[in-house]
Amino acid sequence: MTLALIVPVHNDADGLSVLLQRAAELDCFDQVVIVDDASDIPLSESDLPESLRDRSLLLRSDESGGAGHARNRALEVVDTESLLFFDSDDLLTGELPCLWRELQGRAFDFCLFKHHDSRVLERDGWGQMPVDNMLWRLAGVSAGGLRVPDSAARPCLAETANYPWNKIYRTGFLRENRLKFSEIPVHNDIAVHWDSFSCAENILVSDRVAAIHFVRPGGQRLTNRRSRDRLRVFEPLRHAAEGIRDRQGAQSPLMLALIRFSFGLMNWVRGNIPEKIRGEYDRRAAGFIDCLLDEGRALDWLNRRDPVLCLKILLMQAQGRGIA
Amino acid sequence: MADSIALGPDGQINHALAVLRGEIREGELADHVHFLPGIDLHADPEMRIAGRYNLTEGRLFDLEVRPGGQGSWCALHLSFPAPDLTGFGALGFALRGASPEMQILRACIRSGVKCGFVDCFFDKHILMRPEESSHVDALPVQHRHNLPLQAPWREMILFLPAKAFDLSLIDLRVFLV
Repeated sequence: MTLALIVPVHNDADGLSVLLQRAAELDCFDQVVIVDDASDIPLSESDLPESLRDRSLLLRSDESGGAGHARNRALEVVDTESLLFFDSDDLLTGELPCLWRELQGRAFDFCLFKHHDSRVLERDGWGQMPVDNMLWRLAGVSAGGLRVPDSAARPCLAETANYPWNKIYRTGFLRENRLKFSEIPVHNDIAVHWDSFSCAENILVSDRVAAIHFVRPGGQRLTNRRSRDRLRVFEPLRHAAEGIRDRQGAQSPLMLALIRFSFGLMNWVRGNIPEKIRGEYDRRAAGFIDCLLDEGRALDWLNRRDPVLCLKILLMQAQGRGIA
Repeated sequence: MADSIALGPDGQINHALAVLRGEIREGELADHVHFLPGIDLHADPEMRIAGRYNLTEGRLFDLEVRPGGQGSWCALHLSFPAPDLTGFGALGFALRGASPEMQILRACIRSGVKCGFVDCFFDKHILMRPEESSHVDALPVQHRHNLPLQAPWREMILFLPAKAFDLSLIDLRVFLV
């Protein structure tokens, strides 16, 4: 099996340099695809470590299309059997090559692995944020090495942070199912994450911490963006809901997981946008909740499965309709 | 990890652990499992231990222990050939691990004496949680009556739960300074 590292980059040559140096040391990538998403100073071959140049592909967009567009471009051209999407300002750990060797000969559509979040380090800890740890624990896979999660564990794992870089994908799985990142300014990774869970037949999970994710409040990361771009969050959420409804059913465990995830995300976004666009945001949220509840047909089901969540989401919808 | 070049009385045990981190194999658990020379799992026969172990690259092992009876003990024994502790100040270890259900482990240094052995337990309990976590403990060598300075043989023993449990022992390093 062969593995590619795919990295979209926008004005982060320094971060890319550190990441690629690490990738070269780990020596587990057969191909590296860098997509320069209209950096002010275009990347060149000299930005790549010498030891990776013979297996690197450097693509360039003159107009910024965002990380989703960049990842989709890379997915079209990559020629390895498996791939790992990664961000230029995150880091790989020494666990990755061990995990990759463990995956040899195993059938999988994607393998989800643990990551370390820099916010945990600020509290002298190591590993994922508490909510992700809780979900891994509920899924019964928080320790014990590489394993196949049972079907009840999948919705729990789907609720974890929807990053693309905590999964090694089988390239054919993404292509056969036409899975793509949303080409929008933020939340480009939501749709492909949920599509992955709704489409996959073979999922593996590993408790190896194979990536380090850096969160810097006030930095330039998409996570810190507070503009109207956030209103587009409903596009990938709606896509994910429709995908789950078609593939797994409008009243499936995965749909319940998506409703939980969406509720949390919608609250977070609402708290992170300017006051002046909250009214418009609430109206869009109300419309999206209709989609989640299958135009009301799934209301009884949700009420039976999680009455508290049901109440909360109905209140959110009422707020958007100006009732509450 | 072919070369054993670490010096000092803790060199042997750390070399054995480094070799174990490079091993890839799996197998059935039994009353006595010999992982490597100097690294063994022993369980009370009355526990009728069953289950599986999995050695994977970069970590020590994952255990799925499923006993068939009620026993009193289950432990990992690590040979620690440090016959003379004179001149040393502290003996300790650093461990990383995780367990889906919270588990408490205890560690001790077992020293051979004329009439058998004595166990000197490390003060802290080792708490294994669902999240990978670290644990460090050390014994002051000169002030423990259950830790004779001279002993013909020693082991470091990690007492595991004598019941059904899952455990990932990710790393273990021993130091004598």
